[in-house]
Amino acid sequence: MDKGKQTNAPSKGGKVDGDGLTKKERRALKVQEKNKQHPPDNKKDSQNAPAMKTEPAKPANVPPGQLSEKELRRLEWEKKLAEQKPKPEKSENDNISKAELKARRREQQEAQRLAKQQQQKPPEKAAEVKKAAPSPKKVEKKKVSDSRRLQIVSHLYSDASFSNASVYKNVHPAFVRLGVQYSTKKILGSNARARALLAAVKCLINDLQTPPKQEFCRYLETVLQTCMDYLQLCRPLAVSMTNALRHFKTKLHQVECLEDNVKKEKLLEEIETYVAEEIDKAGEAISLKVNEKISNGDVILTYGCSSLVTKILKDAHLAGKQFKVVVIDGRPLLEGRTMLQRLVQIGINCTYVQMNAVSYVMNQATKLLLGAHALLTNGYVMSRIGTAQVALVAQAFSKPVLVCCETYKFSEQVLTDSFVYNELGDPEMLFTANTLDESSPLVTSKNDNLQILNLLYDVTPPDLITAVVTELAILPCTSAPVVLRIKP
Amino acid sequence: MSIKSKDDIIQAVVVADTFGDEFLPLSSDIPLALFPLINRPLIDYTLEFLSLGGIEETFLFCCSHTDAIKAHINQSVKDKAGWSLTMKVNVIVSESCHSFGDCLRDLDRKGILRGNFVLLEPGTLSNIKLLPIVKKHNEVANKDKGAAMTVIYQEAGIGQMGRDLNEEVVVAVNNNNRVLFHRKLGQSRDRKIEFPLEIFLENSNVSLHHNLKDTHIAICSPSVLPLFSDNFDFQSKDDFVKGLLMNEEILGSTVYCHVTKGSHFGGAITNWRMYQAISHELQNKWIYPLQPPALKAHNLKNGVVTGDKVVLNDNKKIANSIIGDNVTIGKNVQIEHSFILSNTKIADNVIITHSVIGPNCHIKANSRITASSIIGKDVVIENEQFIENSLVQSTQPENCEEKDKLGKKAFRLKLETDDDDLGALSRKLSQLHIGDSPVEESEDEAFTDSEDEELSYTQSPVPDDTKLFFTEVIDSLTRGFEDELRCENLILEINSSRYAYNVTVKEVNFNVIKAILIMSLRFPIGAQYFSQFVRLLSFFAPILKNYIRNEGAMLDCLQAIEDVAISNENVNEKWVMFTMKWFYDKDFVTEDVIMEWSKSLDTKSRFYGQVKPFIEWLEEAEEASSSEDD
Amino acid sequence: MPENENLTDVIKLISDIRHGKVFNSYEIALRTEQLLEKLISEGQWNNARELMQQIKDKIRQVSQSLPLEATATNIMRHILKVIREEFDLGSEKKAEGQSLHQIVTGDQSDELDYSESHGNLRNRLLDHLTEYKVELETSTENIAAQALEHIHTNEIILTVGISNTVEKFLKHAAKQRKFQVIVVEAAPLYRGHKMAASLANSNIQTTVIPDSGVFAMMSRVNKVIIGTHSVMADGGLRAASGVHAIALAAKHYSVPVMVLSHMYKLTPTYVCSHEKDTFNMCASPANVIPYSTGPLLNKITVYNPIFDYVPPELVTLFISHQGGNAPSYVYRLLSELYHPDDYEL
Repeated sequence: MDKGKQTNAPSKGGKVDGDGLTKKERRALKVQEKNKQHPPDNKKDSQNAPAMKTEPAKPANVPPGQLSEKELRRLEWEKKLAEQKPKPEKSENDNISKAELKARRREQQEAQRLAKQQQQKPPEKAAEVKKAAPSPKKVEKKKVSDSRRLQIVSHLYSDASFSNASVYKNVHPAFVRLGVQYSTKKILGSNARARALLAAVKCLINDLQTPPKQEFCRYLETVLQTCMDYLQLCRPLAVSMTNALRHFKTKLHQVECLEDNVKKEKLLEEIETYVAEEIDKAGEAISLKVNEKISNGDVILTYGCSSLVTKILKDAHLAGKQFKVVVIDGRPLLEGRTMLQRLVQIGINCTYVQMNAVSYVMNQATKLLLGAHALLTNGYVMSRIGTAQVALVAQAFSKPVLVCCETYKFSEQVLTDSFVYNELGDPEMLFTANTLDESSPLVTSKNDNLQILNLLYDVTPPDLITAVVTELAILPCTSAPVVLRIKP
Repeated sequence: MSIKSKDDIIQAVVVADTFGDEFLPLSSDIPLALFPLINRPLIDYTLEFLSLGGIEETFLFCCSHTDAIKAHINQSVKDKAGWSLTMKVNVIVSESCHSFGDCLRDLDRKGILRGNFVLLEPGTLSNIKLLPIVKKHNEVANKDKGAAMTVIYQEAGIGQMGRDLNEEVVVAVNNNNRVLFHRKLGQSRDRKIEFPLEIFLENSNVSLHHNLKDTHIAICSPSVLPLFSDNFDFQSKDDFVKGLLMNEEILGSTVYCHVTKGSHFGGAITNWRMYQAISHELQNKWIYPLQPPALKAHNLKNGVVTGDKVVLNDNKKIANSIIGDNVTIGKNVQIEHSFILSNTKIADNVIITHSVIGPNCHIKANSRITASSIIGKDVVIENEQFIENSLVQSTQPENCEEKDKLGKKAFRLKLETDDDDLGALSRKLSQLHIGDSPVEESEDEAFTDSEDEELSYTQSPVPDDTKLFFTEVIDSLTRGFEDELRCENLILEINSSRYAYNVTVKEVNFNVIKAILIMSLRFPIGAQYFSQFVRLLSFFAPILKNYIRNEGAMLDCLQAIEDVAISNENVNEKWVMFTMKWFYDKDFVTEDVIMEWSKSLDTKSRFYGQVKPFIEWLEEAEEASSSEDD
Repeated sequence: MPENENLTDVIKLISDIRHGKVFNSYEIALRTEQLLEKLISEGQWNNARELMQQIKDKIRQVSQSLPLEATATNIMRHILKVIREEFDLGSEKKAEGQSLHQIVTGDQSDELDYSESHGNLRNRLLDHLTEYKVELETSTENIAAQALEHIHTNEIILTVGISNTVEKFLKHAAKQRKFQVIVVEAAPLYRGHKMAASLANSNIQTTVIPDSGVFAMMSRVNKVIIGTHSVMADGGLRAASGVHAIALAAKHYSVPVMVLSHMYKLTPTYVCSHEKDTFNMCASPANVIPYSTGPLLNKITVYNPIFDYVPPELVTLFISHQGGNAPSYVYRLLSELYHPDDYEL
């Protein structure tokens, strides 16, 4: 900070300095110089760091020779600090002399004007920031009015509104986009969400430029934390995502001792290995194990949409086994239709029913294959709502229930019912059904006595499940804590 | 049961014949109305649908085989079929009608219809509840006196079995459900549709539908019949709709549409493919509560439905077929995706795939009938015959050739087909559906490529002309410079171009100067650059003088410079300075104008930065000159 | 011919039921009762046997065309029993009732002929029929009047889809007790929405959940109260599709399941197999997946079953206008309603 002062401090009195110009003229010249320099520099800045526009203090690519640039940056930093912490700044100001104060103020004004310029130009050039701007309108969660909340799940209603732009001002655009995709349910399914998250983290690592005084890993952690906080606001994190992130953080700590330029590559490599091993290879191992259990003439029931079950059935079909699949669908997400499309494209003979017809089709079924969101330590399976119901009916008809779950989804949580920890969906999704002749009376009913509960997950007790298939082995549900202990 | 006045009864008109040759040779013996659909005559389903919908009086219009139809109706009334309790059916006979339009004209002459009525095309099946739709039509007709017809559509996906490709239709509808545009795509292979602009200009809300399937049911106002009588070229319902839309002002009538929701289904059997599709859909209960006759004992696996008294010797190879009453099937017979009507005898070792075998036929051993062949009534197919994709009837057709004679009672029938692609295509699409082609994703990609090319020319007419003018000017000037033509001639050329493209004076000035400046940019950069530039400008000086005569023109000139400087990145400060200085020195542009113009510039743009030194120099020069004056 | 005329009535009733014009079991009951009234008062019959024959014809007609429609046939069977009773009363034989000795030693030839004609049989039957009609009309209120015995304060009650009886039951209780109701929306027709809207209008705290949420919610539910289409002879139910899964969930959490049913829903037939065609029927698949889905539909099969069989172990209590009964008692109720000779027709 002191370096910057030297150029400006001596102009105290009205003296004419060495170059024969009065203070005013010198300043005018300097302004001119700055004008000439800034248009090209603005371009350079914004071209070099498109992702980092929102934090103009970061780019360290401007040649260090130009003191005025550094000064500018410093001023912007100070301005930012001034915005965030007004009090300490004031105390700082008290300790400095008046003239310096004046000079500072003028420089700050200039800095502000230039900062405004900077901020105005980059948004025109980056489409990603534009995407973030209209999104608050879309992503604003509908606040359910108090009177229409269900007492029993009132702890699950989220109060946060995040139309406040400063919430995601420091968030990488890849994460902003991810947040929108999560909250509009474009990305559904624990595997898909984990993959998307890791892809966004890779993007972040690639784009990250640490500011000069900070250490890469620690800086990455803080940035990642802001991003994750934002994602949590969009949609509560899935267990798979939390586990993946935890793994990544441990790897981050391990990487600290390496040199800087190697760190990024190592981290990217780690992420790719994680995805390849924990998701892809685990999926293949599970598929191999289950395929031994599928025989010709089987009728396999499945519920909702699971990428793992799709993979298993595809492999079995390609291996030439003759079997039929019955897809059971549940409201309101109606994910079964997606599953149906995928299976039909593979060429499997499919039947489709809704949840109410479970007893009807269970008779002809030979086994059930279900996916899972997470496996809890006490052996309960957390999965899409309705899975427990299907498993119950299967048990009543004595059909085997196989839950397919990779080990990275094993969680240390313990739950016994579906209320304590769950996620609420949009109640309005239950109003509409595209198969009805007329619209539902719920649409027009504004009665306060009427509430709609749209839970997303439920918890299946282990006595309803025959076995859990993981890439390590086919286990009974209650062996979950053993696996957690084995895993690194 | 309260006594309703005659006016409250809703009437329906069912036209029972197709008038076409889609169903030959079977339709020469059995009228379409009595075609068995899963062992029950088609007309039963239609009448059940009408009584279910609340219709109380129906007129059944027949043109051929009228006795058979009348007998059947009378028998049904005697047997107390469900519909006969609530609905009265009158059979109207007219032997002279040759088309749908003729029938309606005949009905108009007879004058038996009052009020709004429901019009069904031949072979329609549905489970739509008609009364609410009729009520809605009444309301619409009260508001819009010219409302002639409400056409009922059902949403269907593209490529679905029940959606006839011949009848692919694109409809534009406004928010009152009035039909603004109707086009049947099935016959043509066009990938483009042109919508008349008026429909978008006159209506605040237009929705375009490509996902609709015609149910062949329409609610008509009393004005429909006179309209048919007045216009002799209306032969079918689609003609009617098209004609009405085209001549809206003349006829003053409008057409509305209603899209059904939920479990409502409607469709018509217009050709064999639709017969197959609707039979399939009926079996799968899409048209619930219309049901095939309760044949619980006869529903075999593999999607086979049999009638009464069917003798099957072994049924392992029979799949996805409908077998009528009294059919005897021998050993080792393979039947797939076929329809076998009643009283047929099939001997051993016969293979029948994707075909229709008429009633009272006798198929002898070891024959093969495949690929959407239609065998008529009373045909005897001899041993070891191979029939593929043919129509076979029992009596000798008129122009029969030797090779078409397959047996004593089997003759191949040739229909007049159009030789061009359209006819062949539509015929192919009307035949039984043989198989699905594998997922046609690659075709879709091909479509998008061609569409991209065609969409590129989206320019509005006005800039076109100016751009053309500009290119012409550049061409003329380039030529002039190279060939060293006289400037007066060039001026003449430019002026004539200007009149040809109807360009304004301002534009002319602007474009001419811009052209010259752009020509200058073509010179190679180097030491020689500016001298060449000067040469160019001096050469064109007379032209410049001709066009830059007043302040407005000077402004145009400056704007041209700005335009060229901004749109070309290679232009640097020096060039700008030089150009401006030259124009200023040669007195083409005055200081005042320059100063004024500079004030209007965007001070933050790069161009301004380039211009600024010149302006400052001007100011200083001004000051200097003014101070000198002092 | 008079027989054909009578069949006409029945055919009209059958086609109305099939096309959905008459939908509620209550309405079907009233229509059947009207039909029988007309037959008894205006029909041509000379003695009890002819009358019973005509009614048996009707029963056969209905069960052939609508094998799953129980209400109409049950009411007709009940009337057959009434006729036999009236006949017994009218005739002087066997006035002392059947003693054990007679049951053991009586043989087939002792059967009553029913062919004696009694002058006032017609009037007596009509009287009885009027009483029965009143009973029909008030049975819903009678069931509803028992509501307070079964619902206490701050209960959470689960119900499925829409049922007139259950609605009145809950509304009656709501006048004096405060409780919450969870309504399962009952795909694929989502009738639960209408039920929930109606209950909410009567100031009952209602929540709507999709079918998939039943197991999750069941742990917090105190009672399950449902209606049914018909009750089978073993005490099992033929109810709307999806009720079996809900009953299983209730059993898992030991939640009592109470079924409100009128007497005319008790059927003397057993369920021997879960075969689709004999027990159940399917409606249009358009309610499950819309027709506009596209070419996918050509490759898949879609089921939309209407009914579900619920075995008697899953039902805790039957509530009728006479009071509550366990499922194991249903056989006794049947013997009071119908004569054993009329079970299989």
